[in-house]
Parts: sequence; structure tokens; C-alpha cells
Amino acid sequence: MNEKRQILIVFFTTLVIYIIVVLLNNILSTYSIHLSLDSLYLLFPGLYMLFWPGYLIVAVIALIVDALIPLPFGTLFILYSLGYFLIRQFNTRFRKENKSHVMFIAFIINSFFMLAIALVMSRGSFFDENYWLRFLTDLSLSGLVLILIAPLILELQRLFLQLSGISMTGEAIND
Amino acid sequence: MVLASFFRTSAGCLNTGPFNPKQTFLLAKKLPFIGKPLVVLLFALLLWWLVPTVVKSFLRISFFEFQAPAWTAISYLTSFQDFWSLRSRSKIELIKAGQDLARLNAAYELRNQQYEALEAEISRLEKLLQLPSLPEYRFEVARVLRRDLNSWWQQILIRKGENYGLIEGAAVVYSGGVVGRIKEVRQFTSVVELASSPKFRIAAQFDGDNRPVTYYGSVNRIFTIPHGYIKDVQPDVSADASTPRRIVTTRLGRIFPDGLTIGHVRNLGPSSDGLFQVGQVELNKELLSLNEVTVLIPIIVENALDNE
Repeated sequence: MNEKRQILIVFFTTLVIYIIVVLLNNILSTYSIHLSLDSLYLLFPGLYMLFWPGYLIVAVIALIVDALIPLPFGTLFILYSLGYFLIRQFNTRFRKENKSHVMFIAFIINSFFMLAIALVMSRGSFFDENYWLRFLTDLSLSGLVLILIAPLILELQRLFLQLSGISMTGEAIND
Repeated sequence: MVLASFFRTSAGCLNTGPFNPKQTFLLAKKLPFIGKPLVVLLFALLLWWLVPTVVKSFLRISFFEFQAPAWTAISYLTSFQDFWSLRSRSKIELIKAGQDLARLNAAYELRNQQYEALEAEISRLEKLLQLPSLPEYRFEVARVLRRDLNSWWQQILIRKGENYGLIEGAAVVYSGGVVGRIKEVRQFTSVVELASSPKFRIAAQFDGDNRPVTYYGSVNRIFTIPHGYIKDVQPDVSADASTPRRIVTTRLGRIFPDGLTIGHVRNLGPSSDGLFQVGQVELNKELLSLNEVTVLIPIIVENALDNE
């Protein structure tokens, strides 16, 4: 029961984060700025949840995000899966409590996603300097925002779970 | 060795001592879930690769429709918020706005009369010269739910779909001119590809010159107004910063009616083959912050769909 509640709460908080990111991009679109903060959706499931429940959340979120973008359906599912497994694979190498570690993981995974999408979408624009200039600008801005907010978002999700009466003790990682 | 190294990594062994096969085997036996991430990843990728396209398409539509109510609800909430922020305006401000609107209405009423007279003249000439009639459109106004404007794609989601008879490929416009065209239609929402999108391409012409040119969208830099490009411009056409030329739509493309503004050209230069000219088209800045758009649904197509 506790686990089901945990899955639901983490799923809905991640969904709220996704909606907030979209709304933020709605506002920033006036200045031709776009923030890609995809790694935010993987951090909590990857760092604080058991393997399967975390993967379930990541897979569903990936398909939700994927459904609205003009990439071949499943691209983000594959990318998010890769990102999630990277976090799981190396989760013993870093400390979740250390903010700089969290920032580093978020930044690296996000940059990997953005680069992969940029390469997939670069057909016809691969040699266009504007394309890569815009990509680098978006990458830098997204990275900066991510570094600033990733630990805060993680903390908020943890706090929300605690307020919902779900203890994280004993449920974390190393599975 | 790779597998052993993988097991060691998976188990979180931080020691960098020499490889011990017996220890690794025992560790793998003790912890049967070791190595799971990579196995599951490979399995997930294989599974996704094997899933038939029909299933993927069904999944995509399902997930699209699943989140559509959320975006619609947010849009209604925003409208509600706007309504309450407008309610806080003073009565004097509202009276002034009402007066401005009344003046505008009067001006539009006059223009409407002129428009009707011109329409009658056009239909008379069409009959006289036995010309095919111009395409007619039904206008469907829709609110913008979300904007995805990045270097990879430029699209917006609008709050009307099949429920209002929207069709794929239909032209989308606003008060400033062309917005784009409908790329996907779902039950209650539709995706519009913007004119600034790198994949957008239509036939266009200079205002007052009916020779066609090709307009296409481009990647936009941050903090700049959106832009696109035109190509296949005849060598005798000129434009410069002091006298920018307006680029408008043409019905040759069979999407847009004639004369809708796409943007303005401030300079033209020779193309790589030297036969034609190319130029950058400045689009309207409002394209980046649209809240409401109008979809033009061709009446002939709509009637054909109704008959089916």
C-alpha cells in the first residue's frame, strides 16, 4: 500500500514538474528561449526509489512527453531509459545528499538528452551554424537553470512524500 | 573482463584491487539482481523495437489524448485568471475601452459593406468570364494551449480539434498574418506548425507582384524576432532596409488564400546558382506570444467530408 502511494505521489509530482516546465517555456517563448529540463523527471525515481517502481514512472512520463513532440514516438522513452539506467548503474558512485553531485548528474544527463535530440533533428541543419548556436545557447541556459533548481526540486519531492506520511527509509536504491 | 568490471560496478565495489573471478561469481550468485539495469535496458530497447508501428501509433494517440484535458484545464484556468484580473479594472477604464471598441466596430462595419460590394463584383466577373470561383473558408477561432518553440521544432497546441471539424493541413492565421498550418488533429486539440518552423515551406509572393517565390522557416536565435527565408526570387525584384517589401501568401500553394502577410524582406542577394535571389524574411514578433489564432477551413473540403 505504502509503495503504491509512493509511486502515485512521485508520478503526480513529476507530472506537475513537467507541466510547470511547459508553462515556463510558454512564457519564455516570447524571448525565443526554450528550456529542456528533462533530467528533472528522472532524478527522484532514479535516486530515491526502488528499481521497478522508479522505471515505471520514468517510462510513463517519457511516453507522455513523447506524445506531443514531433520526434519519432519512443525516442524519449529510449533516452529516458538510458538516462535512468545510467543513474541506477552509477548510483553508488555519488552521494544523493551532496547537492553538487545531484547538480552534476542532472546536468550531464540533460546535456546527453539534448545532444541526442539535436543530432536526431539535425537532418538538413547539421552544417547550419545558427542551429548549433541556438542549441548551445539553449543547452547552457537549460544547464544553468537545472543546476539551480535540481536540488530544490528533489528536496521538495522528498518533503512532499514525508508530508504524505511515507517514509523513505529502507526504500532507497542499491537494489 | 568487461562483464566482471560491470559486476563490480553494479555491486558498488569501489576497490580497485585485482580481479578475482571467484569473488565476482559469488557476488553475482548472492545478488541475483546484479546487472539488472543493463539487462532491463537492453530488454526494454529490444521490446520497443519489436512493438508494431500500429501499437506505437495507438500508444501515441492515447498518451496525447490522456494529457489533453490537463492542458485544456490549464487554459481555462488562465482565461479565468484573465477574467478576474480584468474585473479589477476601474469602470472609467472599461468605459474608455468600450468607446474605442465602438469606434473600431463602426470602422469595421463600413469595411464590411465595402467587402460585400467587392464580393458581389468578383462573383459578377467570375460569371461573366466563366472563371472558377475563389476558395471560401469557414473561420474557427481557437485558444493556444501551449507553445513549443525551440531550435528543433516550432509548434503550438490549440484548444480545438475534430470536435470543431478542423482538418490537417488547414491554414492558421491571426491579426498579424500567417501563423502556420495544422499538422495534427486530435479529438479536442490540434497541433499547429508555425511559419517560423524549419520544416515549414509554402508558396508566397511579393505584395503587388504575382510571381511565386518559395518561403521556408528557419532556426531562430534567442532574443531575436522570428525569421524565415525566401528563395526563387526573380533578379529584377529589389528590397532594402529603407523600403522593405511585404511577402504575402498566394493561393497557388492551395493552403492559404491570397494576400495574407507572412513577413517583410529588407534585403535580397544572389542565390548560389546566380539565377535567382534569396532573402531573409522578418516575421511578426507576436508569433512568439500568440494566445488566440483562427483556423481557415476550406468549405469545399468540409462539404466533401460531410458527404462522405
